[in-house]
Amino acid sequence: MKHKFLNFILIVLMVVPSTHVYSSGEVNVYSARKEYLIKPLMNLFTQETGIKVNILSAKSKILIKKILDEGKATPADLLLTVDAGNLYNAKSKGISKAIESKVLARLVPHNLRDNENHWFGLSIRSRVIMYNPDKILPSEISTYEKLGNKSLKGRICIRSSGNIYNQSLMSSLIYHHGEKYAEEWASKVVKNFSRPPKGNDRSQMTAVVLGKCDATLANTYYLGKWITSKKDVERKYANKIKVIFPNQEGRGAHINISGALVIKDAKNTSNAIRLIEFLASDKAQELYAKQNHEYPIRKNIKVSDVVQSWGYPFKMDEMNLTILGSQNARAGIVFDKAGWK
Amino acid sequence: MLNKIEDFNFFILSVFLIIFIVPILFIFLNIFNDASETWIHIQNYLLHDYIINSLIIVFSVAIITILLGTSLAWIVSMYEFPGVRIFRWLLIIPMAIPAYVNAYIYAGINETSGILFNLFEYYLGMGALIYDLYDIRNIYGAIVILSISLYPYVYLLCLPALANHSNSIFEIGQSLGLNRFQRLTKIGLPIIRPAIIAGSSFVIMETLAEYATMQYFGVSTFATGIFRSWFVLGDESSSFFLSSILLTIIFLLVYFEQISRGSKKYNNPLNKVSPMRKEKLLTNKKYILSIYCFIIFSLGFMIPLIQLLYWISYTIQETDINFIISLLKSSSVIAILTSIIVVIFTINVAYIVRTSSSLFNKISSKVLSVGYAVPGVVLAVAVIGPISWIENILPEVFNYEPKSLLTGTFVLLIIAYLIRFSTISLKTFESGLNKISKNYDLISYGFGLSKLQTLYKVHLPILLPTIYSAMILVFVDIVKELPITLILRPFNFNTLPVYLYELAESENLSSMGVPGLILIIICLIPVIILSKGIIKNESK
Repeated sequence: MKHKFLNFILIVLMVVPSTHVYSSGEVNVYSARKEYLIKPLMNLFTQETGIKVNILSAKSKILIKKILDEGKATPADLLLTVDAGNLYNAKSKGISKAIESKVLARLVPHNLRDNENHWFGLSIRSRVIMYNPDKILPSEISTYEKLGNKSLKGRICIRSSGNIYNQSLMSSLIYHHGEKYAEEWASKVVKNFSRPPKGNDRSQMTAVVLGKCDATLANTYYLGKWITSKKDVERKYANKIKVIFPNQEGRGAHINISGALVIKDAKNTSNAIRLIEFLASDKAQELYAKQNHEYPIRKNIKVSDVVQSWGYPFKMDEMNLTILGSQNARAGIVFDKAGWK
Repeated sequence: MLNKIEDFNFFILSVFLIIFIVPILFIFLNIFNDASETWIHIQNYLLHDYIINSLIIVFSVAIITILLGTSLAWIVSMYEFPGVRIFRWLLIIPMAIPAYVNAYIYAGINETSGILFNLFEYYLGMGALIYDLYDIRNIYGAIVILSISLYPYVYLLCLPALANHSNSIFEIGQSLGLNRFQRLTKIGLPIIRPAIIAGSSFVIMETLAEYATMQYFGVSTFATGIFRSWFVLGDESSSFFLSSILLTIIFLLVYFEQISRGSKKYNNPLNKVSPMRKEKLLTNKKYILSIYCFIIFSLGFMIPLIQLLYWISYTIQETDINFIISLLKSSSVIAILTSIIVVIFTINVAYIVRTSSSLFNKISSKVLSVGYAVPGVVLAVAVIGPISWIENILPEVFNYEPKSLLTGTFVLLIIAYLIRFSTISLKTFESGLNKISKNYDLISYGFGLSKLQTLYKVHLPILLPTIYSAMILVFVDIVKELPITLILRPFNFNTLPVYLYELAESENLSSMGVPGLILIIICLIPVIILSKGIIKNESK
């Protein structure tokens, strides 16, 4: 009896390692998007192509470091992550490779992909101004630049500068106006803070509803989550907040992407490319963007009703998103100098 | 024949030793590398924070857990007050909630999805007030959370220490004219001193190793620093520097604990336990004790539970039960599999050491039992290093296409668990085997049974209860383990803690209801078994 038991253990020990994934009908995805968000789409891909998708999710920086550590032996084929800053970072660390794909060249707009075809944007999010309509006029905050105006003293709250969304926005300001202007703007905004930066985008939105401040910067999908929330309070709060897409008269609202890249030492390169092509296709785009209240990468695709209600299409800042990554270090310095915690 | 077995044992122990020592050695060897730029940056700007924060937290948590644990154990053992019987047991229960789960829950209570916020918002329209009432995401919050999650360890160890002593010892004290306070300080504390030391050193180790709570509250400690310098700053050597400082501190701690435990023995000289007669208190005072117990129990278990149930009440419909079940399955399968492996491994080690106590064997068992002191984050990082190195060097030597051999497999994950969680099991078996007289072995040999046969036919049947309890302890530790799983888990493998961590990261606290409750229930089962055993033993 006991020997049988020991044999069982031995067999288990021998079988477990061999379940490791290598066969040709697979693609191994390191994902910075939460697994429960992307799983339905991946299942759809498997249904259509028969290619099995293996997912390991973690934060972007962890995954990039893991790939670096694993070196040539890495099991990862594809990295799925958010923010152009992270995509740029992955490319500059040398973990990605250029992809030749006519399909992607057609499906992914120029400004939403790497100029050497290392990474491709798969959904768009916009960092917009959200405000309390009882307290502030839309005209007072129609651009990012206006957030530095003296009339807004003590009326703004924004999360800390350690956050990549803020860093990318700052990179865009440096690109459009230069470092000197960006620094002055940042220190003016800091003077307008009603409280030192704390919490995430959602806590800033809560602060707006509860009257701690009149306006904030936040990514659109957070409001989408509130509107569709099962919680009465969150739906009630969502009603008290309005969205402004900034700089509609000028360069357009700041946008960012979630995207994908193929790992340099990928063992299943062609499957990885097929997965990215699938995610960029019309069918997947509709789901991909809707699921997280984001925007699709092409205007011809419908957005969710919730997202439509804020106004779509709106004017997007069409600067090349590579710059968001390349300016990231300078953005950090500008924030530090301005005393933006 | 005998020599063959000795050789075989030597071989087995050596293999285990290598598995255990290589990662730790890898960390310390890195000290000899030149300081990187990142390390200089860390030294200049961050190290100060890591040290100060870690010290403040460890010191405060140790003091608070000792105060809570000993005072609660003292009053439930010494006094008669309303509910004492049930509190005695209830006060152990908070053990079932991992510290990081408490951290997420308490952070959520006064936010928009929290029960406190909603109660005030609905009935009084005072949500804003509650929202600003407290902010737990800081160092003080971390101290509170860790204290209420860890005090049961001190409490649990003090209970039997107090119960094993006859009431007469206190009566003698009383007859010698000691007042109530003097009886506590002059008799009570010395008796439970070993329990306090053991309990608090466990608390300190857990506190130093805590990653998820600190990360979520934004408190920089060694554990978060090690994680950050490896993954965010991308500098292994800094990470190893920090790890080696932390490990040195912890090893010193373990050493001092063993010294201070070893020398003094507080045996009951009468060798007869007359049941503790509890003192009855005046009306007012006894209610104060009930209220005190109730508050601590509420903080540690009831309030978090209510918040979880509240979250469940409105997320139950959107909860993907199949997904949760798949998490439950993977969590329990890996935990069962690993606890079986750990138990088999540690029985063998304990038995080898018992049968021949050569110096090598003794040292080995010491080394093999030190794993629990290595924080999960450190261990994960220490395992990746050598494995990646091997996986990239082998293809060059044997000339094949590089591919991962162990990276991203269950083998690597299980090895890391094995290193960390063998300690408890090994200690359990050592003490279990020590209780079996050596005469059993001699008689067994006399009947011509080999050492291995003796283990199977004599010791294992006797040890069966010990095997169960060791397995349960290891099982729970693995079920709630976070940092190692997070870093080393294979593709498509998620556990309940990993899912909770992801929900907390995306600020989706309200979806924690169902998975959080399931995790607590799993952890609750062994806590109940364990506490019943202890309380039963006392009442004998």
